[in-house]
Amino acid sequence: MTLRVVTYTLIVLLLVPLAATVATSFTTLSYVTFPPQGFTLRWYGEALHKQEFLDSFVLSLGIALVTAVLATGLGAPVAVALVRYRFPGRDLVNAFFMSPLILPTVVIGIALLQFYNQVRIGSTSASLVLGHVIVTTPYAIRLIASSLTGLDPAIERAARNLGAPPLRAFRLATLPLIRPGLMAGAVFAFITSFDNVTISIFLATPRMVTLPVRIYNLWDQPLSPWLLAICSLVILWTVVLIAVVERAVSVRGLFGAAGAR
Amino acid sequence: MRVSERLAPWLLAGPVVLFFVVFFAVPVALLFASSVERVDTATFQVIERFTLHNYRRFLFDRFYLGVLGTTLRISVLVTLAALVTGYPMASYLQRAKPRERAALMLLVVSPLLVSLVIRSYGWIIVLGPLGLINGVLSGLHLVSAPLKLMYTETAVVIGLTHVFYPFMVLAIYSSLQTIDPAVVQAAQNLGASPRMAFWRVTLPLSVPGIVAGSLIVFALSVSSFVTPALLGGPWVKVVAYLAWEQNLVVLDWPFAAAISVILLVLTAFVMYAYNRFVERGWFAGVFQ
Repeated sequence: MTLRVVTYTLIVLLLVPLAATVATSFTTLSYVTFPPQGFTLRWYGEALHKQEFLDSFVLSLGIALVTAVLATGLGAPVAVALVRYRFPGRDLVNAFFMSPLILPTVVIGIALLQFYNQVRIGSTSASLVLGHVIVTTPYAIRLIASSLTGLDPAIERAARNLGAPPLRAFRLATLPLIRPGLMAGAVFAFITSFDNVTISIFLATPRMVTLPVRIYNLWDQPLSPWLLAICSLVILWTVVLIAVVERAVSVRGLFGAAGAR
Repeated sequence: MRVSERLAPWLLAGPVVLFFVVFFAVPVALLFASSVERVDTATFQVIERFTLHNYRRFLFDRFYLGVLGTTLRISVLVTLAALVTGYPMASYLQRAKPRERAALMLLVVSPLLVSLVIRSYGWIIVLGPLGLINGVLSGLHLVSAPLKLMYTETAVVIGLTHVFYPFMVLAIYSSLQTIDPAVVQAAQNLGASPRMAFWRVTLPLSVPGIVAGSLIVFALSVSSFVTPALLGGPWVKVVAYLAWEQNLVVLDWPFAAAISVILLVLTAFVMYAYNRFVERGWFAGVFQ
């Protein structure tokens, strides 16, 4: 009984910062105070007129979409190689692809920034995407690999024996069965990229600011209700996203298979 | 085995390996190379190609060592806080009925899907001078002036515990799941009270989960950057903040690289311990 009370208290505490953000975004005062006063949607109207935030949202959305496609596309062949084949150096390849998860994200950010400058690539949306692909592909590999692990390779072999060329056999026999893994990988990569601040802070330029970095950059100013409205919209958008994908992939499964981090 | 079978994994993974070498391994290697250079911070010209100057500068300076100390202290506190609050959550999840468990699990994990920045701003509302905690305290007339919570180590510890909490819960939960309920039942049949069965049976058996969760949370805390920057500001500097500052404000890239390498070595050390103690089954033989 006491354990239940403790657990539910902890759950409430976990949700307090998010709930406080949403609650305060409706305040009628022009500064942030708790408890919020009154109720108005005024700050949402103001938030939707912040052109630079809309631009950042569109940029983040684009980067996350491209990242999701690339991470899944790059992750799938690696996952197939790791699960279906035993080859010398397999453990090393596996460790290599998991290393971006072990390295501190800040270190990857600094390494990429210095690298881009040394080879004079500079910061473009492509270099932002590259950074995001590096940190999301390991998740995609793990999620796709875990959906492949439970699969009987005999199914694909049967297709081959019936005369299908290798790629066709893979597309017709294996692909439909690992679709949940691919979906989960893409969703996870999308969310991780959309939320990413640590890599983006280093690779953003004044003209290329992702939404989380745009919000972060206001750290030295007093919190304003319109900013909380923007944060609330992002929270709402995340909740909708979870609700939509929860049917296809369970969020817990996402983190279970993606492992720590 | 046919040649094509032997080549197949490399045909599949090879191009991606190459991509990761160029855009991940090479940048990290260059970071090491850059960390032993020395630039003149006035002209940004490289004045020495190979020197340990940057490392000496960090490791023999009171200020930088102080920042390292702050970082380690914060990380230890975050790990303890996550452990103490994570264990009850994990035990409850393990005993809960499937439906309740699934719902609670979703609530525990879902904050991970909201950007760090937004979660940190949420804490500013809770901890700020006009925030929730001060509002409640002054409403109850417990304090005359608002408590200073923001931009303190306490704020950073609270924020980081919140961010890394799910990892601790999942680690302990998965180790609790591996415990055979019959073992706990046996202890109780032999006369142990539920409390005693917990302390003498369940808790020791869940040590691998505790160690795994603690190492993950500690490693993540040591290298965290965004949450300390937002909740601690320039007043609570951590190592990752120094690296950022040297790289983007001071523009002393070699020094930033050296700080990154120090951070990397620190987390590599923790991750090595993780591999050794947890994944290699260091505890496997102990509790058979």
